[in-house]
Amino acid sequence: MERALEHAQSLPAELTSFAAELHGKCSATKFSVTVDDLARILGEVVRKYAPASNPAQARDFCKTLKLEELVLARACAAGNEKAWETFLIRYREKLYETGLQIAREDSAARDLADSLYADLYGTTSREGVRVSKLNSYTGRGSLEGWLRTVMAQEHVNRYRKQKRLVSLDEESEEGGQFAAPDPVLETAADPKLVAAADAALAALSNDDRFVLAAYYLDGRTLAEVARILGVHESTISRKVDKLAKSLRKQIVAGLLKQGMSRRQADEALEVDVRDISLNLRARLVQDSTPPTFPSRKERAPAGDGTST
Amino acid sequence: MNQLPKIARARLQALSAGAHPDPDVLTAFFEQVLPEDERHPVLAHLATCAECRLAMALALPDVAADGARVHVVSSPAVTWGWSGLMRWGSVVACLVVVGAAVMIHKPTPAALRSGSDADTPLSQKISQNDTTQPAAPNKTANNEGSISPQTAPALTSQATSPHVDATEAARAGKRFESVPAPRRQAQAGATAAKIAVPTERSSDIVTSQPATQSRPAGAVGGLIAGNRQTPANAPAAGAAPGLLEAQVTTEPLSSSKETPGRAKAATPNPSGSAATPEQSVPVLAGSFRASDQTTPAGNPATIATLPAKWILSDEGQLQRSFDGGKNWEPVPVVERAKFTALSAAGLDIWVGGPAGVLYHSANNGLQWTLVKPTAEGVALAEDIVSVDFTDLQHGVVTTNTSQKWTTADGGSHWRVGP
Repeated sequence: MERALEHAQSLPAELTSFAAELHGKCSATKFSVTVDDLARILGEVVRKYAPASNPAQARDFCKTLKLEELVLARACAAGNEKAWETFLIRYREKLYETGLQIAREDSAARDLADSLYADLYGTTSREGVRVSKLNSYTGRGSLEGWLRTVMAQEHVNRYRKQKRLVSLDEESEEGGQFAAPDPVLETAADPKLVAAADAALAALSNDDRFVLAAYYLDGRTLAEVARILGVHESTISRKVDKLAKSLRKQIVAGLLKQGMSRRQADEALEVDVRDISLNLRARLVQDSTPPTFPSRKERAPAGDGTST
Repeated sequence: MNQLPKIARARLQALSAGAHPDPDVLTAFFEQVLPEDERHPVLAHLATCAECRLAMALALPDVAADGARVHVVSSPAVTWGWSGLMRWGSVVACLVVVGAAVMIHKPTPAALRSGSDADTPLSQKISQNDTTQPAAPNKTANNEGSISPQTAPALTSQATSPHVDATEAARAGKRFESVPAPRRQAQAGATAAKIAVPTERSSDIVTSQPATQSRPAGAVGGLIAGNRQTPANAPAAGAAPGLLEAQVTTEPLSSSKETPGRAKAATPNPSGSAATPEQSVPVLAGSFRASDQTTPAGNPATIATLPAKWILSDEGQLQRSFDGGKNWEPVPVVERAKFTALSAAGLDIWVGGPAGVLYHSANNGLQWTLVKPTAEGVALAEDIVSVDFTDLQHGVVTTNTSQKWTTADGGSHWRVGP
């Protein structure tokens, strides 16, 4: 707490008074979080996400935070028992449910949830002080959403590690994922075509690029993309359709600008599509994670030794 | 769907991503609470980082898990084979039975003429009934017997008509609005009575209504009561006040066991607090507007039992799908409303919007009630950013100022805080 007080003293007076104002509106007292603690927490979050804000802006920013959950998380990180009781009641079951949703397999889900729970509780110690992952929660989104995100990231990390440690036998069974790309095919892409494609993509908004990547590269459904962006599914459907059409037009237009005839541009697009298709496969297996997590490889059922 | 040129896919994939956003920011992003200026960089990163896209997709709440709340009934995967045939066969058999029941009880033109003029608009019928003598007893005399002696002629004649059901009332929903205000009392009374009459036809349909047994009787009534802000004028229809409310209240809860005699059990409002026809007007007038739209079922009584998916459009319009999300239809709640939060638990739908606007439907979007959460004398006036009802009774409304308004009795009483 002494360290907290030091931090609090270095905070702007406006933020401290605002923290005092908010203190009574959340469960800070219940979880033994003092006004100074709250001011320190808010100051930390403001410094991280809105460092250049003036007092009024900082105040507005703090109003957008999930204060109740932020206080709960930080109280848990500080080792408050009541806070842990509340946390367990609210989130313990959800941790397992989330793990199951992400890992799609019971033992992996439990492992994932237990691992995160251990991180949240703080098993690692730094200079004799237990470090809880909950200290990194800042209340920008809901605590439940944050827990889901942290768990999903952990799962992705584990998967990548697991893929790196895959045995050579399994690797070959899965189709030689680490085979070197064909150098001939690497050079097959026409520089003009690449330049035109890059220019067309650069002209798109971030929103559009995300929609294309999620839909075409990751294989997400329209509904999933819509949920991520918080829009209606039909909006994404229209957008994907429109983008695919306009991107093709833009690439062809780019090729025309570079001196190709319409026929040449169309041919270049078509010819390179076949080449790039093969090249893309090589890039896919090396650079990006698969869109889904196959829990187990499907193996052929063992035969009885007779042939039909 | 158009195919993206593969060169575009390849170049899209080749875009390099910068530093990963932290989990807080990603969470705020997919929960749609990130400010616009922070949202764009995150979107730019996500467009180029497959890993973050994957993590975020995994972190999204499971649709299937939410299905228990968002979708009224989760439809099992269709598996063809003997079990599939049996399943679909049973569905077809049910449809045939329901269809036969509907056909059997379909009113004949002669019967319509005897009860009321079939060609006369309902509003005219109501206005005629304001001045007509009590109708002759008919086969639903049980209902009539339940109505108190001072029941108005209009109420009696309409309530005892065997041919008027919720569908007809729904079709006439717009006509109600065009009727002069002084007649609204009688209309409301008549309409309420019509809805309340548990005709055999409606009870057949309501049989398939899932999981409404657990709803405490009066849950809807509580919400209706919460809407009683209209000054209580003299009940021109003269209907027993409590009776009307009890009928309206119990109608969505009716089961196949209900018989016309149930109306007898509809005791007057214990509180005696004025469930006058006038007070029911806002609920009833606004309630049937949804029925004007084309729905797969067409019949409001059927709509109230069908499984549906719910979603808010970009424009904040509530939409509903009865075919698993293939086709969406707008569900009118209130004009020019832009909703920002939605919660669906079974047949109970809640939508919230700016300035504390909160609407509730207890019958799959057929009827809507404006709910005004008030705690310690202070009404909810902030913008609602999320509504989350875990069951019919317990829910949390979160505002843009992170206030949490909690109810444990289906919206009758609220408290602010954790």
